[in-house]
Amino acid sequence: LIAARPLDVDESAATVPVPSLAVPKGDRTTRHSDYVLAVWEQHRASLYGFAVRVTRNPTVAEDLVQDAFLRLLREVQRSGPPNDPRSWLMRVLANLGVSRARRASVAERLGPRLVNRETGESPEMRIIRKEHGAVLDAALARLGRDERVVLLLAASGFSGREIASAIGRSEGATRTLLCRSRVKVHRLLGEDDG
Amino acid sequence: VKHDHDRTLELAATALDWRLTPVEATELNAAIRTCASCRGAASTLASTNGGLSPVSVEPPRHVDVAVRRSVLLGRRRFSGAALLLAGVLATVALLGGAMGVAAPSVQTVRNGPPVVPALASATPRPESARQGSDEPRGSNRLDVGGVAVWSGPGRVALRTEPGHDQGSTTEAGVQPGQRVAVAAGPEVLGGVDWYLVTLGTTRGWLPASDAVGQSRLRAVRNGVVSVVDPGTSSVVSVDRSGGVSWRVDAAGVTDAAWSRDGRFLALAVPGSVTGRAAIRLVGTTGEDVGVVAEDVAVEPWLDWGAGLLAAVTDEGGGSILVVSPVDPSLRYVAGAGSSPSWSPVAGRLAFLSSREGGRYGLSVMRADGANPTTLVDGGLPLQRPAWSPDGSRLAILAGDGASRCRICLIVARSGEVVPLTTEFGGTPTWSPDGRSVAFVASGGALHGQLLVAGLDGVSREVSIPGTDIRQPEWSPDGRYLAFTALVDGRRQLGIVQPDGSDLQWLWVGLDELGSVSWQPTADPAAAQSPGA
Repeated sequence: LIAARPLDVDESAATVPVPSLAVPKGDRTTRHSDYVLAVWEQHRASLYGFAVRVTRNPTVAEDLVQDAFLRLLREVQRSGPPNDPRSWLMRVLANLGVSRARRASVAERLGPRLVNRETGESPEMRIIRKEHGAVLDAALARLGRDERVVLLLAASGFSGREIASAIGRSEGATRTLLCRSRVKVHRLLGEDDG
Repeated sequence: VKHDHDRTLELAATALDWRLTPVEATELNAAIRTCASCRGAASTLASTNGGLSPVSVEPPRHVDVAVRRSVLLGRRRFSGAALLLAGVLATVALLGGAMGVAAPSVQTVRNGPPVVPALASATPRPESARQGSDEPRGSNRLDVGGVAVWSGPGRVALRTEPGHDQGSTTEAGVQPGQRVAVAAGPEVLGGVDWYLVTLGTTRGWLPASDAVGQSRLRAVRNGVVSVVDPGTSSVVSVDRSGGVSWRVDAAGVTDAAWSRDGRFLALAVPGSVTGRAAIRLVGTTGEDVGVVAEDVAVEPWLDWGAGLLAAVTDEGGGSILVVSPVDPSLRYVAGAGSSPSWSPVAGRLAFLSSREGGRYGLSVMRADGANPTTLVDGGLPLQRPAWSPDGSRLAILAGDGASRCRICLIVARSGEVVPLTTEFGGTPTWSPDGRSVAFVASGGALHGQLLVAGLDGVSREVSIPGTDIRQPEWSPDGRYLAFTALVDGRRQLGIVQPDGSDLQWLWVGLDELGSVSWQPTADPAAAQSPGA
């Protein structure tokens, strides 16, 4: 049943599809940015979707995504493309999401923001709500940011050990956090059913 | 078999992400085999996991444009000095990353909520979020060469020697909220740290804390740099790494100015009446604080004093409006004039009073408009007065051939005009230590370049690889200048040390960039002391 799933913590990120992106030829700076733009082209929807789910705030998600791609550019310039850019970017997004949450939590409680600030549900949030079910979405919304991030990383194919490294916590702490998050979602869904 | 359902649920949850120990696996399998309830729970857990599968959301077009532009411009941003910075960042990332696949740098992530307390202020402070500093925190040690703010209850005189019983007092003193440059120290006397500080051209000693150990002299740190970015209809606040700390959407904003206590960013935004502006305040994380004035002049020329904001209204052909961010009853239309500049010594305001033929006089009044006195009476075409941090003089543009200086200093007590520089230039801005004035040259060989004029009359060019420099602004700690410049045809926000070193580009505008304002923050360790 459960134990049937291979759960070797040493497993590589095999569940994450590895894109066939090669660094184009040409002037070094040009090809670095061309590479990053190609990654953007290929993965922007899944990464933006991930960022919106992590932050639950499209405006914050926009900043995170932009920031993450600039970091990818720096990484490529420094030491070449990462093995799996999508997975690398998700780690960065998760990390930024958690750290920004700590900085922004006060701001989120205060509000409303300035002119043009969206007040209703954004189109992005509506898509997410539609695609993975209002009930699950509501449960996710009631989790803390850290809890949501680890669950979303796990759902994107990261192993427990990789998640620990992505969010900068010990494996023990991450194991507890993941377990607690899963049980919490389970209970929230149960509350909804009953 | 008697077992704990909660324990089974935990094991089933853990098994989704980690390999269980043989003992745990046996325990889980036994529970699932024998208990229908546990089996059901484990099964829904697994299906929930499936329901969390990744969702693709096409980013809005402006995000697509923004990412493409920043990536394309990013390749230009990382040249020369900035490459060095990128190298340092990369090294940090490498050290912090896991072996093999480079993990995101943990070191660059701030751990725990940042606490950036307000500086001393003359007004009561509301409970508000405090965010934005990138500086190290946790120590009240003042940096020699840095800037500190006096937060005692009243004026204190500088002393000729450290210690209350040593030497004598000087004539110079500091008021609450006033800045001093830290020249040396600390000298520990009776458990109190004493620092040698400079206030303009005067030197003297100040205690860092009072008799009961409460902090009085706090280091001023650099918070975020906020820039008006019309291309995205927003005001962007970036930290020193160029990361966006936050942004507020505000179409048509013409000016942005941080309060001297670093708690409020005032924005001049389009008002409810066409062609007029309103002044809106946001807090330290961009949260809306509210509108403090409607119907002010289109470009209201915001200037923050200690807890009060002055702006120009259209009333009576240009009047100076004084408002408080926290007390709506504190509101004065303080007489006809323009270009207000607050004295660092509380409650006095310099402004240009209108004279015939496009000429102005320079006058000083109290914040409520009382006791107006004329310092310079209409002899010069004056513009943009800026009061020095020690309150002793004002820098002002004096723009015709008849005057001995293009940027002149006017002694606040006497109205005497002292030449600072003969270069034509834009708005002069004082360094926090009050010993130099930065401005952008206009006309001549140095047109559009950033110059720093010392009180000794020597102007030095700050070498910046860009043209048409605008909006120079000193960092609160006095170590950097922020500015915008055209680089490769794009306007960018940069910071640089006055000697031209450590240039960093922080933000690229989609088209133009407007006002720049650098948020001051205080040393939190000090502010957390009791009653601070």
